[in-house]
Amino acid sequence: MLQTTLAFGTQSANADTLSSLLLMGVKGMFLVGVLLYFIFAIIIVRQIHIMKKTLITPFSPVVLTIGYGHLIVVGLVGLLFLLIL
Amino acid sequence: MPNVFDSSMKTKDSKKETESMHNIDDDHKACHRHVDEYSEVMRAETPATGLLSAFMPKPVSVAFDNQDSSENIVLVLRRHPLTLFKSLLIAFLMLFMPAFLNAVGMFSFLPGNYQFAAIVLWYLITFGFVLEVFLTWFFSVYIITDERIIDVDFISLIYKDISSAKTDKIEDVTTVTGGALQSMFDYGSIKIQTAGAKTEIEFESIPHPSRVTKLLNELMLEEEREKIEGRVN
Repeated sequence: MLQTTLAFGTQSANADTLSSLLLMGVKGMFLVGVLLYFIFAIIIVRQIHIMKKTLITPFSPVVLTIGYGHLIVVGLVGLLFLLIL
Repeated sequence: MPNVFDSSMKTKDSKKETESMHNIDDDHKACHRHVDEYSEVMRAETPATGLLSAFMPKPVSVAFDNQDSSENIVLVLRRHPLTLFKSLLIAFLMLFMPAFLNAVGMFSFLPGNYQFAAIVLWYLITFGFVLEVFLTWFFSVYIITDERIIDVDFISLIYKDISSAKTDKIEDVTTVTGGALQSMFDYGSIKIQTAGAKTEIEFESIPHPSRVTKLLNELMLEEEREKIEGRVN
């Protein structure tokens, strides 16, 4: 009886370790994903800057604002992931 | 004292330079007729004020890099909005993907905060996709001026291609309109053969291709006329 309980306890501890390792892996994936997306957002802003000079329209500053807004939101999401995961 | 240190001389010189520049511009303007004077297509069009249009005749507040002071934009074209339909449909389906995966129970093994993070990341990616589609559409333009044609291809976020050809270098213009959708909504492609370094410039899926072809022919004729009448600088 005691042996069974001990064996069950060891199995449960192993499962907990496995589960926490899996969650850590998933957390890492989320953070890498956000980091890559942040780089993508920076490229968007850079590209808008270049294209704004190529095609000059009154709407280009609005597009640039959207690009910067997107970049800020991605940064905030990255921070949120660090806090909640 | 050398003239270099004489500021009054310098001012006079710069004034002369500015005046001569103005004279060159005036001469150039005198050589060029306004597009409405020789183009039947443009006479029928009112100047475009909307900035998110795919067909912008005589746009009021649009300019481009390397534009000469005497060069006037006659027409700015983008791909027909219908060409965005496929991408927008994908984006629309992407909006419902989290709800679908939730119903299937694909992420049920993850804790609540991880599920929330997955949804946030997914919607961020969806927004990024829509933004890229919009930017590619907005910045890929075909510009026709009274001097040349310019093809600005914003192919992807890290690749762009700008090619131009003088109107007098155009050799052949071919209009291609195929399929029910293109015929119904009057859009298609124009292939322009030139004698320049890049032998073909293609205006893809533009609105009113026949009108644009007619305009290009009128511009080519005007160039010929300028040469015959000696109005070329």
